[in-house]
Parts: sequence; structure tokens; C-alpha cells
Amino acid sequence: MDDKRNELKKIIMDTKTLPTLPGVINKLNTLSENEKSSVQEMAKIVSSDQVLSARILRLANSPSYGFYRVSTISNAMILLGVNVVKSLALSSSIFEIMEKNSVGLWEHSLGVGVAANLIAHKLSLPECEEIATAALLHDIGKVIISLKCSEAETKIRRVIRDQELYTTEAELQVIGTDHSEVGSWLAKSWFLPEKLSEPIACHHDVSASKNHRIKTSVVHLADVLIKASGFGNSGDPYVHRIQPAAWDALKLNDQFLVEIVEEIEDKMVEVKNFSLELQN
Amino acid sequence: MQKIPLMLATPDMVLARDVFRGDSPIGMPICGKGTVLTNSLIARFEHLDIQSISVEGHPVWEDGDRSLDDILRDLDFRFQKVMDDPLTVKLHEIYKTFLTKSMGDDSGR
Amino acid sequence: MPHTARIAFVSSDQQLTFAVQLRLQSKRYQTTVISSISGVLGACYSDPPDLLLVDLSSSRTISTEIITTLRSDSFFSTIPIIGILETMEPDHEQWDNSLLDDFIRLPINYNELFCRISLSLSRIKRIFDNNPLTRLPGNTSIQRAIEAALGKDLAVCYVDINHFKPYNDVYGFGHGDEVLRMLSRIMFNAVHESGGGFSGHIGGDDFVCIVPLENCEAVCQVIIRHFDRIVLDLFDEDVKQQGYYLGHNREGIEQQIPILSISIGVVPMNYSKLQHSAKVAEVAAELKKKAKLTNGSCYVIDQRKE
Repeated sequence: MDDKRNELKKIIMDTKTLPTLPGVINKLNTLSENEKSSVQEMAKIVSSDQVLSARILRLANSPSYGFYRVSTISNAMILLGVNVVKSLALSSSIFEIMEKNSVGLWEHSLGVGVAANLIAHKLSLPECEEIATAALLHDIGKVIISLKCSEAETKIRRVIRDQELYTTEAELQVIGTDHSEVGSWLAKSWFLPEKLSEPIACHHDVSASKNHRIKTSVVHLADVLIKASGFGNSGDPYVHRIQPAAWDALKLNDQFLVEIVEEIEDKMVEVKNFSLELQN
Repeated sequence: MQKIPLMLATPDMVLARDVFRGDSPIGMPICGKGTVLTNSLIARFEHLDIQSISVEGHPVWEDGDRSLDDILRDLDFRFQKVMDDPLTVKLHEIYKTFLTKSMGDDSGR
Repeated sequence: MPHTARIAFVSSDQQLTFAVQLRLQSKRYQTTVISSISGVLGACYSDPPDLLLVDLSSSRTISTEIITTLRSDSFFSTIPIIGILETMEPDHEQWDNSLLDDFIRLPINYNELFCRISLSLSRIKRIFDNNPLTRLPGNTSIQRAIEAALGKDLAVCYVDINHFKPYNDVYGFGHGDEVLRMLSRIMFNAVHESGGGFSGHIGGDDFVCIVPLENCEAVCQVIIRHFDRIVLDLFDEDVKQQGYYLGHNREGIEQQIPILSISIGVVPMNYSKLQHSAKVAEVAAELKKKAKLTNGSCYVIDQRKE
């Protein structure tokens, strides 16, 4: 199992790019051809897509630019400039078409990003945008597994279905590692700052987070809430338990949960609309 | 009353709430509660970048006909692995109440 | 009047020398011939050529020695060196460590040689002047750009960072460098995305950009907005809340240092009184002094109407 894991790690650290939804690329193409479209519109599309967001953050944090703390899309866009962002976004090959399955994961990631943003604002936490970005990227490990281990992925799906397991459990069984670890390998090789990589690595094990406990807790909670809401498809339908480490770190209470559920459900209607627009 | 994504709006639906420009309800609404939707009105909302509207009844159903029972059953299914965890069970209760309340206004189809 | 480039040709092969010299002169290049080692350094120091053409086909060792000596002095680092190589030489050149900038094989295709000479000269012009940290054009290009802007409907904006030195002292030069790189990108992007203009880095924390008069306020506002936003990432929560961090002033006394902000002095170029580029810098300095009176980032435009 260890060999498999090491081999997989090597493959992942070598990955330079990931595919994204055709709908996203098409929308970006349309925007960039239309002179009147604004930077904000581009930013909106980019920050809804975990792959594009990761690629842009990777470029902003890469040695060639000399920045090393860029953790939000808006800051990355300010530093890279619109042209760079445009060309990067449009260079995603539209031939790397993702299957229907991927829309579910895309929606789930977007939903968790939006939920995390709501939670962070409601708790008046600092760095809300960073938290939302980390949340958007939390399942990026699944995208890589889907791309680089398609056979294993089919097997993982079967195991989930037959044994009624959580995705993490099935992944460990089939490939010896899980999407949190894989995501953290990618985050590291893509130069993403720790405030983004730690939540990715620890969103299923909040007590393992060291320096960014609060951010990780928000991402974890957002993930649980979106699973509870049934929005999108993250691979398995089962809600995870809310980890006490997260509950304590954020100093939550029952009333908060009641209110945030309402806010999230309200927001998800708009998110669904956005998703439908892109798929059209 | 149901809040739906604009993409799923169709003519003859009736607005249950005023529609405003932008996110917050300030100033004059673009369109008042009670208005019957038409294709051109929907197109106008699209043009103004409106993402969602509230309509009378519960006209939008995903995955076909679903009653409150169906929806609650799905909810239980999702939560099956955590029903023994006191913290997460609270979340289950909250969702149950929420879904019942939001469907309850329309008492089914 | 553009001066014609001076090319020094190093070779001990008389026939080749004669041919090359003739051709170069036909293209109006001022050509000097150097045929011995002892002559080279002396000639180069007293009368630096703009480009060196070195014959490596004959007297290989001597030529290589010449090149090595020249390259060991950074004074000559901006002189392109093009080597002339044998026709059928096997590719045993160690190109990674080569001190040449370009090469051409015998028999010389003169059209190609002239192209390579032009390219080398323009490349040097382009990159030599660039600030090594931010890769923006430096003083020579900036001067030229300001001179070209005199009397036109353009505005020259001088940008610098307030309280930059204490920031470097407290947070270290690595972080200071990062801030400079960030500001250079922010300014460059703001200029570029507003429709175009010139961006330059004078040195340290001093930057300059030139944009059409009608865009200058918008560009300044964008630069300020973006800088103020990005800069927040560099400080902790408490520092952000307070608006300052602790450092020492020149006398060594502890002081509250405000978080980084920028000052921009904008000099419209369509005043008839502005005849000289030096005056532009002077006016900008006064404007920036005014700008620094405000806490936080701001820009000041010269209001003189005559």
C-alpha cells in the first residue's frame, strides 16, 4: 500500500494543470470576447471554480512572480492583472471534458465555498475571503484522483455504493490515501500558502490542524452543512458528524445552527441558478 | 411560497414577493408581488442579473413529484451514519423543522 | 541624431578582417579592428564598443582569452559578443557556460549577421535598463519617456511608499522586496488595463508611470485601492486594527509606525512652462510632500494652469 501511495504522491506533485467544466470555459470565452464585460464578472466566474482558482493562486504564488502569501482570488487578480488571468483561464483545454459526475462535485465545492463565506461573516471572523477560497478548494484532491486514477476512481465509487462508506473510507481502501491528503500534496506543489493548504488537508480531521484551526473549522462545518442540505454531489451522500474540535474552536451554539441553516438554504437557490446558467 | 432560481421560472407563475434590483430591498421594486410572469418579464429579470425570485405555491420540483415525506426520507438517508452523535443530531432536527416549515405553507402540490 | 553603433572586430585573419570590415562599414557601423590581445582591453576601456565581433575560427585560444577577460569585468557585461565559428565544427560547444551572446558560422551570410547584430543591440537596450527586482524599465528609459511626454496631453505620476524604510527594518528586506514587487505589478496592471501608458521603476520605493491626462485620476484611484487592499495581507490582525506596528526611528526611540500606504504626485504635461524633464521631477517632489501630509494613501495633482 505504501508503494502505491508514494507513486501516487509523485504523480500528483508532477501535475501542472487540471481540467475544468466546459460551461465555465465557455462563459469565460464569451466574457473575454465581449469588450464591455468587467473584471468583476470574470472574477465571479473564476472564484466559482475550484480548478481555475487553484491555478491562478498557483501562478501568483510561484517563484516567477516572487509573491508568497497570495490567498484570495481578488488579490491574485490584482497582482497578476486581467490579461494574465484571462490567458490562464482560457488555456484550460476544453477537450479535457469532464463527465456529468463532475458537475455534482463542482456544485458541492461552490456550495461549500459560499456556505463558508456566510459562516465566516456571521461569526465576524477576519479573512473571510481566504476562508471562502480554502473552502472552495477543499475537495480538489477528488479532482486529481478523478483525473490521474480513473480506474481507481471507478472502483472507489463502487465501494462507496456497495459498502455504504464515506468517500474517505473508500479511498483509503482502494488507493491507500484520501482526498484530503492528496489535496494537500497538490496544494504544496502548487505553492499555495498554509492558510489554504491546512484547511484542505484537515477538513475531515479538524484536531490535526495546527496554525489555522479557525479556518479549518469553518471549512469543516460548511462541508457538513452542504452535505446535510443535499446540494451538489461530493461522491457519497452521507453527512459527516460535526467534530467537537470545530464546534469548540468556533464557540458555536444551537441558535447559530438554526440561523445559518436558513441563510445557507436561502443562498443556495442563487447558487443553483448560477450553476444552471453555466450549464446552459 | 417558494424561492426558485430564475433559470427555472416559467410564464404564469405568480410573484409572491416584490422583485428588487440588486441584493437588498431598497427603494422602488422593479416588479410587484402578485404579478403574473411572462417570457418578456423573465427575460428582463435575466438582463438585470437577478438570480432568484419568490413565487406562489410550490411549482418547482426537482427529480419529479416529491412530497414532504419523500424529502424527509432523503434527509434521514443522508443522516443515517450520524444519528448516534448528539451534536450532529441537532442539525438533523433543525433541517427537519426547516424543510417541514418551507414545504408546509403549500401543503403539498 | 541617433549615433551609429560601434563594432569592434577581433581577428588575426587578415582576409576575413578585410571582408568583414568592408561589409560592416557599408552598413554604416563604425568598425574598429583589434588583432592582438594586448590591444583589446585597452581599446575597450578607453573607447567601449557597442558590440564585439570575435573570430573564433582562427586563433581560437587567443579569442577565448579575450572574451573571458572582458566578461570578468562587469563593466563590459552590457556589450553583446557575437562569435564567428568554423563551418563544420562538431557541436562540442559548452553553450551553458558560454560567454557568447550569439554566434554565426563561416562562410558568413552577411544578411544574417546584420540581423543578429541589430537584435543583439536592441536586446541589450531593452533589458539592461530594467530594474532587477521588478523588471520594470529604469532611469534611462524613464528619462526618455518623460522627455517624449513634454507638451502632450499626458500626466506623469510619481509613486512612492510611505514609511517604507521602517517597514524594511522591522519586517526584513525579503518582505520589503515583496512589497516593491507587488506595487510594481499593481501599477503596471492599472496602467495597462486603463488603456496603456508607460510604467517605470526609478529605484528603491520610487516608481513612475505616464498615462493620458483623462485617465490619470482613475489610474491613481485604482493603484491606491489595490495597494491598500493587498497591503492588508502583510500585517497581523492586531496591527490592522490599530493601524500601526512598533518600530524605531532614526534616533533609536520606539515609535508607532503606520501601516504602509502610498503617495502619488501627478504632473500634467500640457503646461507650456514645463520645458525640461528635471523640472517635472521637482514639481512632483513638491506634490508628494503635500500628499504625505494626509494619513493613508492619496494622490495630488498639480493645479498650475499656466
